[in-house]
Amino acid sequence: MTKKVLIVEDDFMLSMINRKYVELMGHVVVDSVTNGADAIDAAKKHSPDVILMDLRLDGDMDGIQAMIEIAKFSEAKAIYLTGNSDEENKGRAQETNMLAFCVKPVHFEQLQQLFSQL
Amino acid sequence: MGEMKNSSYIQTDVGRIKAINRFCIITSLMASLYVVLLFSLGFWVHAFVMMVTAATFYSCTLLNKYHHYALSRIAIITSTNFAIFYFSVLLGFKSGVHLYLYISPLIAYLLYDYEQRKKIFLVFSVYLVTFLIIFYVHKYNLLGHLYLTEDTVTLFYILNFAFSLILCFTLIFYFAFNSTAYNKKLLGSNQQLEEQQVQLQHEIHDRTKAQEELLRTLREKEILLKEIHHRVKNNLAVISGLVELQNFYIKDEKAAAILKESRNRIKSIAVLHEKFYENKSLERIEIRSYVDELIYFIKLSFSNHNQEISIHTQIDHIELSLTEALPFSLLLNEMITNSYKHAFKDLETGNIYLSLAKKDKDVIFHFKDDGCGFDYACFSKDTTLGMNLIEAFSRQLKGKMSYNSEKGKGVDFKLYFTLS
Repeated sequence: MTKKVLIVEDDFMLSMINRKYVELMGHVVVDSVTNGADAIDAAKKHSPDVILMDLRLDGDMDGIQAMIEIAKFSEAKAIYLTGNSDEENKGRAQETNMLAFCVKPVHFEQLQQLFSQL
Repeated sequence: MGEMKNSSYIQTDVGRIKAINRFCIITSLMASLYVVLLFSLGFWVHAFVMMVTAATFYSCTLLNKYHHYALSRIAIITSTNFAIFYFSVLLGFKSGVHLYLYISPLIAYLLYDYEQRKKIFLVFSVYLVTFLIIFYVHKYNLLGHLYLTEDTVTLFYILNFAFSLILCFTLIFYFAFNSTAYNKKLLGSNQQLEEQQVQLQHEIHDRTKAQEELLRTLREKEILLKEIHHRVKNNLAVISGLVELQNFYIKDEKAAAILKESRNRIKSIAVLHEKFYENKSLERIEIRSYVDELIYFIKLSFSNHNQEISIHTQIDHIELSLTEALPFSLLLNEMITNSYKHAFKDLETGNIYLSLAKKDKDVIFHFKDDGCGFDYACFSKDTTLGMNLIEAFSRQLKGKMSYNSEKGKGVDFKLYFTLS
Protein backbone atom coordinates (compact mmCIF):
# COMPACT_ATOMS: atom_id res chain seq x y z
CA MET A 1 0.00 0.00 0.00
CA THR A 2 1.35 3.40 -1.01
CA LYS A 3 2.39 5.62 1.90
CA LYS A 4 2.59 9.40 2.08
CA VAL A 5 6.09 10.41 3.18
CA LEU A 6 7.37 13.74 4.47
CA ILE A 7 11.13 14.29 4.30
CA VAL A 8 12.73 16.64 6.85
CA GLU A 9 16.45 17.01 6.06
CA ASP A 10 18.69 20.09 6.05
CA ASP A 11 21.18 18.61 3.58
CA PHE A 12 19.95 19.02 0.00
CA MET A 13 21.78 15.98 -1.43
CA LEU A 14 20.60 13.63 1.31
CA SER A 15 17.07 14.94 0.93
CA MET A 16 17.23 14.14 -2.79
CA ILE A 17 18.67 10.65 -2.19
CA ASN A 18 15.98 9.86 0.39
CA ARG A 19 13.31 11.08 -2.04
CA LYS A 20 14.68 8.67 -4.68
CA TYR A 21 14.70 5.77 -2.20
CA VAL A 22 11.08 6.46 -1.25
CA GLU A 23 10.01 6.72 -4.88
CA LEU A 24 11.88 3.52 -5.78
CA MET A 25 9.94 1.74 -3.04
CA GLY A 26 6.74 2.95 -4.68
CA HIS A 27 5.67 5.46 -2.05
CA VAL A 28 4.89 9.19 -2.48
CA VAL A 29 6.96 12.06 -1.12
CA VAL A 30 4.42 14.76 -0.18
CA ASP A 31 7.02 17.41 0.72
CA SER A 32 10.71 18.00 1.55
CA VAL A 33 11.54 20.64 4.17
CA THR A 34 14.70 21.69 6.00
CA ASN A 35 13.53 22.90 9.45
CA GLY A 36 11.19 22.02 12.31
CA ALA A 37 8.67 24.83 11.81
CA ASP A 38 8.23 23.97 8.12
CA ALA A 39 7.92 20.28 9.06
CA ILE A 40 5.00 21.08 11.40
CA ASP A 41 3.27 23.14 8.67
CA ALA A 42 3.86 20.41 6.05
CA ALA A 43 2.54 17.72 8.42
CA LYS A 44 -0.63 19.80 9.00
CA LYS A 45 -1.06 20.34 5.28
CA HIS A 46 -0.31 16.82 3.93
CA SER A 47 -1.10 14.47 6.84
CA PRO A 48 1.82 12.10 6.02
CA ASP A 49 1.94 8.44 7.15
CA VAL A 50 5.72 8.46 7.65
CA ILE A 51 8.21 11.22 8.35
CA LEU A 52 11.90 10.74 7.49
CA MET A 53 13.25 13.06 10.14
CA ASP A 54 16.82 14.28 10.42
CA LEU A 55 17.78 14.93 14.05
CA ARG A 56 19.79 18.08 13.43
CA LEU A 57 17.85 20.70 11.56
CA ASP A 58 18.12 24.34 10.53
CA GLY A 59 16.57 26.74 13.07
CA ASP A 60 15.93 26.45 16.81
CA MET A 61 14.07 23.15 16.78
CA ASP A 62 15.66 19.71 16.42
CA GLY A 63 13.91 16.71 14.82
CA ILE A 64 12.63 15.29 18.12
CA GLN A 65 11.13 18.62 19.22
CA ALA A 66 9.42 18.93 15.81
CA MET A 67 8.00 15.39 16.18
CA ILE A 68 6.63 16.22 19.64
CA GLU A 69 4.72 19.14 18.10
CA ILE A 70 3.52 17.06 15.13
CA ALA A 71 2.31 14.27 17.47
CA LYS A 72 -0.22 16.77 18.91
CA PHE A 73 -2.30 16.58 15.72
CA SER A 74 -0.90 13.68 13.64
CA GLU A 75 -0.32 9.95 14.01
CA ALA A 76 2.55 9.94 11.52
CA LYS A 77 5.43 7.63 12.44
CA ALA A 78 8.97 8.96 12.50
CA ILE A 79 12.06 7.31 11.09
CA TYR A 80 14.91 9.30 12.61
CA LEU A 81 18.00 9.62 10.47
CA THR A 82 20.98 10.86 12.38
CA GLY A 83 24.72 11.17 12.43
CA ASN A 84 24.67 11.20 16.22
CA SER A 85 23.12 8.17 17.88
CA ASP A 86 23.96 8.95 21.49
CA GLU A 87 21.85 7.42 24.23
CA GLU A 88 20.32 10.72 25.32
CA ASN A 89 18.87 11.38 21.88
CA LYS A 90 17.73 7.76 21.56
CA GLY A 91 15.89 8.10 24.88
CA ARG A 92 14.24 11.34 23.84
CA ALA A 93 13.26 9.89 20.46
CA GLN A 94 11.61 6.87 22.09
CA GLU A 95 9.17 9.23 23.81
CA THR A 96 7.77 10.18 20.40
CA ASN A 97 5.82 8.19 17.81
CA MET A 98 8.99 6.51 16.51
CA LEU A 99 9.37 3.66 14.05
CA ALA A 100 13.18 3.54 13.99
CA PHE A 101 16.33 5.41 14.92
CA CYS A 102 18.86 5.00 12.08
CA VAL A 103 22.47 6.07 11.80
CA LYS A 104 23.46 7.69 8.53
CA PRO A 105 24.22 6.57 5.86
CA VAL A 106 20.90 4.73 5.58
CA HIS A 107 20.71 2.00 2.96
CA PHE A 108 17.88 1.33 0.61
CA GLU A 109 17.37 -2.19 2.04
CA GLN A 110 17.21 -0.75 5.53
CA LEU A 111 14.43 1.69 4.56
CA GLN A 112 12.67 -1.03 2.61
CA GLN A 113 12.65 -3.27 5.67
CA LEU A 114 11.31 -0.44 7.87
CA PHE A 115 8.53 0.47 5.44
CA SER A 116 7.52 -3.19 5.24
CA GLN A 117 6.70 -3.03 8.98
CA LEU A 118 4.01 -0.37 8.36
CA MET B 1 68.63 33.07 58.14
CA GLY B 2 65.14 33.13 59.71
CA GLU B 3 66.24 30.55 62.30
CA MET B 4 69.24 32.72 63.24
CA LYS B 5 66.99 35.71 63.87
CA ASN B 6 64.42 33.65 65.77
CA SER B 7 67.09 32.18 68.06
CA SER B 8 67.32 35.48 69.98
CA TYR B 9 63.69 35.20 71.17
CA ILE B 10 62.62 33.33 74.30
CA GLN B 11 59.59 32.04 72.38
CA THR B 12 61.89 29.65 70.55
CA ASP B 13 63.72 26.70 72.19
CA VAL B 14 67.15 27.99 71.22
CA GLY B 15 66.33 31.51 72.49
CA ARG B 16 65.07 30.15 75.80
CA ILE B 17 68.24 28.12 76.40
CA LYS B 18 70.32 31.25 75.69
CA ALA B 19 68.26 33.22 78.23
CA ILE B 20 68.66 30.45 80.84
CA ASN B 21 72.44 30.46 80.27
CA ARG B 22 72.58 34.22 80.79
CA PHE B 23 70.54 33.86 83.99
CA CYS B 24 72.93 31.14 85.24
CA ILE B 25 75.99 33.31 84.59
CA ILE B 26 74.45 36.31 86.42
CA THR B 27 73.44 34.17 89.42
CA SER B 28 76.87 32.48 89.57
CA LEU B 29 78.51 35.95 89.58
CA MET B 30 76.20 37.10 92.36
CA ALA B 31 76.96 33.91 94.31
CA SER B 32 80.69 34.62 93.85
CA LEU B 33 80.23 37.97 95.61
CA TYR B 34 78.61 36.13 98.54
CA VAL B 35 81.56 33.72 98.59
CA VAL B 36 83.96 36.68 99.01
CA LEU B 37 81.77 38.21 101.71
CA LEU B 38 81.45 34.94 103.67
CA PHE B 39 85.24 34.42 103.43
CA SER B 40 85.88 37.90 104.71
CA LEU B 41 83.57 37.23 107.65
CA GLY B 42 85.50 34.04 108.37
CA PHE B 43 82.67 31.58 107.56
CA TRP B 44 84.92 29.18 105.58
CA VAL B 45 82.52 26.26 105.41
CA HIS B 46 79.54 28.38 104.37
CA ALA B 47 81.69 30.18 101.84
CA PHE B 48 82.56 26.79 100.39
CA VAL B 49 78.83 25.83 100.19
CA MET B 50 78.17 29.08 98.35
CA MET B 51 81.07 28.32 96.04
CA VAL B 52 79.51 24.95 95.21
CA THR B 53 76.21 26.74 94.53
CA ALA B 54 77.92 29.21 92.20
CA ALA B 55 79.65 26.32 90.43
CA THR B 56 76.30 24.50 90.06
CA PHE B 57 74.78 27.58 88.40
CA TYR B 58 77.68 27.75 85.99
CA SER B 59 77.60 24.02 85.29
CA CYS B 60 74.00 24.44 84.09
CA THR B 61 75.35 26.35 81.07
CA LEU B 62 77.60 23.34 80.33
CA LEU B 63 74.64 20.96 80.67
CA ASN B 64 72.75 23.09 78.16
CA LYS B 65 75.74 23.07 75.86
CA TYR B 66 75.57 19.26 75.77
CA HIS B 67 71.76 19.33 75.34
CA HIS B 68 70.87 18.06 78.83
CA TYR B 69 68.16 20.69 79.06
CA ALA B 70 65.88 18.88 81.53
CA LEU B 71 68.80 18.14 83.90
CA SER B 72 69.95 21.75 83.69
CA ARG B 73 66.48 22.99 84.65
CA ILE B 74 66.27 20.58 87.60
CA ALA B 75 69.75 21.74 88.73
CA ILE B 76 68.66 25.40 88.65
CA ILE B 77 65.47 24.72 90.62
CA THR B 78 67.29 22.54 93.18
CA SER B 79 70.28 24.84 93.69
CA THR B 80 68.18 28.04 94.02
CA ASN B 81 65.85 26.39 96.55
CA PHE B 82 68.72 24.84 98.47
CA ALA B 83 70.81 28.08 98.57
CA ILE B 84 67.84 30.19 99.66
CA PHE B 85 66.83 27.67 102.35
CA TYR B 86 70.39 27.08 103.59
CA PHE B 87 71.45 30.72 103.83
CA SER B 88 68.08 31.92 105.06
CA VAL B 89 68.29 29.49 107.97
CA LEU B 90 72.01 30.23 108.48
CA LEU B 91 71.87 34.02 108.34
CA GLY B 92 68.43 34.46 109.88
CA PHE B 93 65.09 35.71 108.51
CA LYS B 94 66.14 39.32 108.90
CA SER B 95 69.02 38.86 106.45
CA GLY B 96 66.37 38.93 103.70
CA VAL B 97 67.66 35.83 101.79
CA HIS B 98 64.03 34.76 101.36
CA LEU B 99 63.49 37.88 99.19
CA TYR B 100 64.94 35.88 96.31
CA LEU B 101 61.83 33.70 96.47
CA TYR B 102 59.74 36.60 95.17
CA ILE B 103 61.35 36.24 91.79
CA SER B 104 60.38 32.54 91.63
CA PRO B 105 57.42 33.12 89.19
CA LEU B 106 59.85 34.85 86.82
CA ILE B 107 62.33 31.95 87.12
CA ALA B 108 59.52 29.48 86.41
CA TYR B 109 58.48 31.49 83.34
CA LEU B 110 62.14 31.67 82.25
CA LEU B 111 62.57 27.90 82.49
CA TYR B 112 59.32 26.85 80.83
CA ASP B 113 57.06 28.15 78.09
CA TYR B 114 53.71 29.64 79.04
CA GLU B 115 52.02 26.67 77.33
CA GLN B 116 53.74 24.27 79.80
CA ARG B 117 51.45 25.41 82.62
CA LYS B 118 51.72 22.24 84.69
CA LYS B 119 55.51 22.52 84.90
CA ILE B 120 55.35 26.23 85.76
CA PHE B 121 52.83 25.50 88.50
CA LEU B 122 55.05 22.69 89.86
CA VAL B 123 58.17 24.89 89.96
CA PHE B 124 56.24 27.71 91.59
CA SER B 125 54.88 25.26 94.19
CA VAL B 126 58.40 24.07 95.06
CA TYR B 127 59.47 27.68 95.73
CA LEU B 128 56.33 28.27 97.79
CA VAL B 129 56.97 25.17 99.89
CA THR B 130 60.56 26.34 100.48
CA PHE B 131 59.26 29.73 101.60
CA LEU B 132 56.77 28.11 104.02
CA ILE B 133 59.46 25.83 105.49
CA ILE B 134 61.78 28.83 105.99
CA PHE B 135 58.92 30.76 107.60
CA TYR B 136 58.06 27.92 110.04
CA VAL B 137 61.70 27.21 110.87
CA HIS B 138 62.15 30.85 111.91
CA LYS B 139 58.79 31.19 113.65
CA TYR B 140 59.27 28.15 115.85
CA ASN B 141 63.06 28.55 115.97
CA LEU B 142 63.52 24.95 114.86
CA LEU B 143 67.13 25.39 113.72
CA GLY B 144 69.71 27.68 115.25
CA HIS B 145 71.45 30.36 113.16
CA LEU B 146 74.79 32.13 113.19
CA TYR B 147 75.32 34.94 115.59
CA LEU B 148 75.78 38.09 113.51
CA THR B 149 76.07 41.71 114.49
CA GLU B 150 73.18 43.98 113.56
CA ASP B 151 75.41 45.80 111.02
CA THR B 152 76.26 42.51 109.30
CA VAL B 153 72.59 41.51 109.16
CA THR B 154 71.76 44.93 107.71
CA LEU B 155 74.56 44.55 105.16
CA PHE B 156 73.20 41.15 104.11
CA TYR B 157 69.66 42.55 103.95
CA ILE B 158 70.76 45.46 101.74
CA LEU B 159 72.72 43.12 99.48
CA ASN B 160 69.90 40.57 99.24
CA PHE B 161 67.29 43.26 98.68
CA ALA B 162 69.40 44.97 96.02
CA PHE B 163 70.40 41.76 94.21
CA SER B 164 66.92 40.26 94.26
CA LEU B 165 65.54 43.58 92.96
CA ILE B 166 68.21 43.74 90.23
CA LEU B 167 67.48 40.14 89.26
CA CYS B 168 63.74 40.80 89.29
CA PHE B 169 63.99 43.95 87.13
CA THR B 170 66.51 42.31 84.80
CA LEU B 171 64.11 39.43 84.18
CA ILE B 172 61.04 41.72 83.85
CA PHE B 173 62.80 44.03 81.38
CA TYR B 174 64.21 41.08 79.50
CA PHE B 175 60.75 39.56 79.09
CA ALA B 176 59.22 42.94 78.18
CA PHE B 177 61.85 43.81 75.57
CA ASN B 178 61.80 40.29 74.23
CA SER B 179 57.99 40.32 73.83
CA THR B 180 58.02 43.74 72.16
CA ALA B 181 60.75 42.69 69.71
CA TYR B 182 59.01 39.40 69.03
CA ASN B 183 55.66 41.13 68.45
CA LYS B 184 57.35 43.53 66.04
CA LYS B 185 58.83 40.62 64.20
CA LEU B 186 55.43 38.89 64.09
CA LEU B 187 53.82 42.07 62.78
CA GLY B 188 56.48 42.26 60.07
CA SER B 189 55.87 38.62 59.18
CA ASN B 190 52.11 39.22 59.16
CA GLN B 191 52.56 42.15 56.81
CA GLN B 192 54.69 39.99 54.55
CA LEU B 193 52.09 37.23 54.64
CA GLU B 194 49.32 39.72 53.84
CA GLU B 195 51.32 40.95 50.85
CA GLN B 196 51.89 37.38 49.73
CA GLN B 197 48.18 36.66 50.19
CA VAL B 198 47.25 39.62 47.98
CA GLN B 199 49.78 38.41 45.40
CA LEU B 200 48.36 34.89 45.57
CA GLN B 201 44.81 36.21 45.19
CA HIS B 202 45.93 38.03 42.05
CA GLU B 203 47.54 34.85 40.77
CA ILE B 204 44.39 32.82 41.54
CA HIS B 205 42.30 35.43 39.76
CA ASP B 206 44.58 35.33 36.72
CA ARG B 207 44.59 31.54 36.67
CA THR B 208 40.81 31.36 37.02
CA LYS B 209 40.49 33.74 34.09
CA ALA B 210 42.94 31.66 32.03
CA GLN B 211 41.03 28.50 32.97
CA GLU B 212 37.73 30.07 31.94
CA GLU B 213 39.31 31.10 28.65
CA LEU B 214 40.58 27.54 28.13
CA LEU B 215 37.14 26.10 28.90
CA ARG B 216 35.55 28.52 26.46
CA THR B 217 38.05 27.49 23.77
CA LEU B 218 37.42 23.85 24.59
CA ARG B 219 33.66 24.33 24.25
CA GLU B 220 34.19 26.08 20.92
CA LYS B 221 36.34 23.19 19.76
CA GLU B 222 33.71 20.69 20.86
CA ILE B 223 31.06 22.55 18.88
CA LEU B 224 33.42 22.70 15.90
CA LEU B 225 34.16 19.00 16.21
CA LYS B 226 30.45 18.21 16.29
CA GLU B 227 29.92 20.32 13.21
CA ILE B 228 32.76 18.54 11.39
CA HIS B 229 31.38 15.20 12.50
CA HIS B 230 27.95 16.16 11.17
CA ARG B 231 29.48 17.19 7.83
CA VAL B 232 31.57 14.01 7.53
CA LYS B 233 28.57 11.84 8.34
CA ASN B 234 26.42 13.67 5.81
CA ASN B 235 29.15 13.45 3.16
CA LEU B 236 29.55 9.70 3.74
CA ALA B 237 25.77 9.35 3.56
CA VAL B 238 25.70 11.31 0.29
CA ILE B 239 28.50 9.19 -1.26
CA SER B 240 26.86 5.99 -0.06
CA GLY B 241 23.43 7.17 -1.31
CA LEU B 242 24.74 8.19 -4.73
CA VAL B 243 26.54 4.85 -5.17
CA GLU B 244 23.36 3.03 -4.17
CA LEU B 245 21.16 5.10 -6.48
CA GLN B 246 23.58 4.52 -9.32
CA ASN B 247 23.06 0.82 -8.71
CA PHE B 248 19.39 1.10 -9.69
CA TYR B 249 20.35 2.29 -13.17
CA ILE B 250 22.93 -0.44 -13.84
CA LYS B 251 21.71 -3.48 -15.73
CA ASP B 252 25.01 -5.39 -15.54
CA GLU B 253 24.90 -7.63 -12.47
CA LYS B 254 28.67 -7.73 -12.06
CA ALA B 255 28.94 -3.95 -12.05
CA ALA B 256 26.00 -3.73 -9.64
CA ALA B 257 27.72 -6.16 -7.25
CA ILE B 258 30.91 -4.08 -7.35
CA LEU B 259 28.96 -0.92 -6.50
CA LYS B 260 27.24 -2.76 -3.66
CA GLU B 261 30.61 -3.80 -2.25
CA SER B 262 31.86 -0.22 -2.45
CA ARG B 263 28.75 0.99 -0.67
CA ASN B 264 29.29 -1.58 2.10
CA ARG B 265 32.89 -0.40 2.52
CA ILE B 266 31.66 3.18 2.90
CA LYS B 267 29.07 1.99 5.40
CA SER B 268 31.68 0.16 7.48
CA ILE B 269 33.72 3.39 7.69
CA ALA B 270 30.62 5.43 8.49
CA VAL B 271 29.57 3.10 11.33
CA LEU B 272 33.12 3.15 12.69
CA HIS B 273 33.14 6.94 12.57
CA GLU B 274 29.84 6.98 14.38
CA LYS B 275 31.13 4.63 17.09
CA PHE B 276 34.16 6.82 17.70
CA TYR B 277 32.01 9.91 17.94
CA GLU B 278 29.55 8.15 20.24
CA ASN B 279 32.44 7.12 22.46
CA LYS B 280 33.38 10.78 23.01
CA SER B 281 37.01 9.98 23.90
CA LEU B 282 37.82 9.82 20.14
CA GLU B 283 40.78 7.63 21.00
CA ARG B 284 39.50 4.07 21.35
CA ILE B 285 36.31 2.13 20.71
CA GLU B 286 34.96 -1.07 22.14
CA ILE B 287 34.93 -3.36 19.11
CA ARG B 288 32.11 -5.78 20.09
CA SER B 289 29.17 -3.41 19.55
CA TYR B 290 30.77 -2.22 16.32
CA VAL B 291 31.09 -5.79 14.96
CA ASP B 292 27.45 -6.53 15.85
CA GLU B 293 26.28 -3.42 14.02
CA LEU B 294 28.45 -4.12 10.97
CA ILE B 295 27.16 -7.71 10.76
CA TYR B 296 23.59 -6.41 10.89
CA PHE B 297 24.20 -4.07 7.92
CA ILE B 298 26.04 -6.65 5.83
CA LYS B 299 23.26 -9.19 6.45
CA LEU B 300 20.75 -6.55 5.44
CA SER B 301 22.59 -5.76 2.21
CA PHE B 302 22.49 -9.45 1.21
CA SER B 303 18.89 -9.97 2.39
CA ASN B 304 17.65 -10.30 -1.20
CA HIS B 305 19.76 -13.48 -1.69
CA ASN B 306 17.13 -15.53 0.21
CA GLN B 307 19.81 -17.42 2.13
CA GLU B 308 19.82 -18.38 5.79
CA ILE B 309 23.35 -17.51 6.89
CA SER B 310 24.04 -17.62 10.63
CA ILE B 311 26.92 -15.61 11.99
CA HIS B 312 28.22 -16.87 15.33
CA THR B 313 30.38 -14.41 17.24
CA GLN B 314 32.57 -14.72 20.29
CA ILE B 315 34.26 -11.41 20.99
CA ASP B 316 36.23 -10.37 24.06
CA HIS B 317 36.10 -6.86 25.44
CA ILE B 318 38.73 -5.21 23.24
CA GLU B 319 39.34 -1.53 22.66
CA LEU B 320 40.95 -0.51 19.38
CA SER B 321 42.46 2.81 18.39
CA LEU B 322 41.33 4.53 15.18
CA THR B 323 44.46 3.37 13.33
CA GLU B 324 43.68 -0.23 14.29
CA ALA B 325 39.89 -0.09 14.04
CA LEU B 326 39.75 1.22 10.47
CA PRO B 327 41.77 -1.58 8.78
CA PHE B 328 40.14 -4.16 11.06
CA SER B 329 36.61 -3.02 10.15
CA LEU B 330 37.37 -3.06 6.42
CA LEU B 331 39.06 -6.47 6.76
CA LEU B 332 36.03 -7.86 8.57
CA ASN B 333 33.74 -6.38 5.93
CA GLU B 334 35.78 -8.09 3.18
CA MET B 335 35.79 -11.44 4.97
CA ILE B 336 32.02 -11.54 5.55
CA THR B 337 31.26 -10.16 2.07
CA ASN B 338 33.53 -12.80 0.49
CA SER B 339 31.69 -15.54 2.35
CA TYR B 340 28.31 -14.22 1.19
CA LYS B 341 29.55 -13.68 -2.37
CA HIS B 342 31.58 -16.83 -2.94
CA ALA B 343 31.39 -19.37 -0.12
CA PHE B 344 27.58 -19.56 0.05
CA LYS B 345 26.97 -18.63 -3.56
CA ASP B 346 25.00 -21.77 -4.42
CA LEU B 347 23.96 -22.69 -0.89
CA GLU B 348 20.74 -21.91 0.96
CA THR B 349 22.19 -22.14 4.45
CA GLY B 350 25.58 -21.60 6.00
CA ASN B 351 27.51 -20.66 9.10
CA ILE B 352 30.17 -18.10 9.79
CA TYR B 353 32.19 -18.41 13.01
CA LEU B 354 33.90 -15.28 14.12
CA SER B 355 35.99 -14.85 17.25
CA LEU B 356 38.20 -12.13 18.60
CA ALA B 357 40.26 -13.03 21.67
CA LYS B 358 42.69 -10.93 23.66
CA LYS B 359 45.60 -11.95 25.84
CA ASP B 360 47.46 -8.99 27.34
CA LYS B 361 48.12 -6.87 24.26
CA ASP B 362 47.92 -9.69 21.71
CA VAL B 363 44.74 -10.18 19.73
CA ILE B 364 43.73 -13.27 17.76
CA PHE B 365 41.06 -12.84 15.11
CA HIS B 366 39.65 -16.11 13.84
CA PHE B 367 37.23 -16.29 10.93
CA LYS B 368 35.77 -19.53 9.62
CA ASP B 369 32.91 -20.47 7.32
CA ASP B 370 31.44 -23.80 6.24
CA GLY B 371 30.95 -22.70 2.63
CA CYS B 372 32.17 -24.35 -0.54
CA GLY B 373 35.79 -23.22 -0.08
CA PHE B 374 38.37 -22.93 -2.85
CA ASP B 375 41.80 -24.15 -3.70
CA TYR B 376 43.87 -21.40 -2.08
CA ALA B 377 47.16 -22.81 -3.45
CA CYS B 378 45.97 -22.31 -7.05
CA PHE B 379 44.27 -18.97 -6.36
CA SER B 380 45.47 -15.88 -8.21
CA LYS B 381 45.24 -12.68 -6.19
CA ASP B 382 45.29 -10.58 -9.33
CA THR B 383 41.72 -11.54 -10.12
CA THR B 384 40.07 -10.13 -7.00
CA LEU B 385 40.31 -6.89 -5.04
CA GLY B 386 38.86 -8.45 -1.85
CA MET B 387 41.82 -10.81 -1.22
CA ASN B 388 44.31 -8.03 -1.93
CA LEU B 389 42.53 -5.82 0.58
CA ILE B 390 42.55 -8.56 3.23
CA GLU B 391 46.32 -8.89 2.87
CA ALA B 392 46.81 -5.11 2.83
CA PHE B 393 44.72 -4.56 5.98
CA SER B 394 46.55 -7.42 7.75
CA ARG B 395 49.84 -5.74 6.93
CA GLN B 396 48.47 -2.38 8.13
CA LEU B 397 47.65 -4.01 11.47
CA LYS B 398 51.24 -5.33 11.53
CA GLY B 399 49.69 -8.74 11.98
CA LYS B 400 50.59 -12.27 11.00
CA MET B 401 47.88 -13.92 8.92
CA SER B 402 47.15 -17.46 7.87
CA TYR B 403 44.58 -18.23 5.19
CA ASN B 404 43.53 -21.81 4.58
CA SER B 405 40.91 -23.04 2.20
CA GLU B 406 40.26 -26.18 0.25
CA LYS B 407 37.41 -27.09 -2.01
CA GLY B 408 34.43 -28.28 0.04
CA LYS B 409 36.07 -27.40 3.38
CA GLY B 410 35.25 -23.71 3.73
CA VAL B 411 37.64 -20.95 4.71
CA ASP B 412 39.77 -20.72 7.83
CA PHE B 413 41.46 -17.36 8.41
CA LYS B 414 43.54 -16.31 11.39
CA LEU B 415 45.17 -13.00 12.13
CA TYR B 416 47.47 -12.29 15.07
CA PHE B 417 48.20 -8.67 15.88
CA THR B 418 49.35 -6.58 18.82
CA LEU B 419 47.45 -3.61 20.23
CA SER B 420 49.20 -0.25 20.32
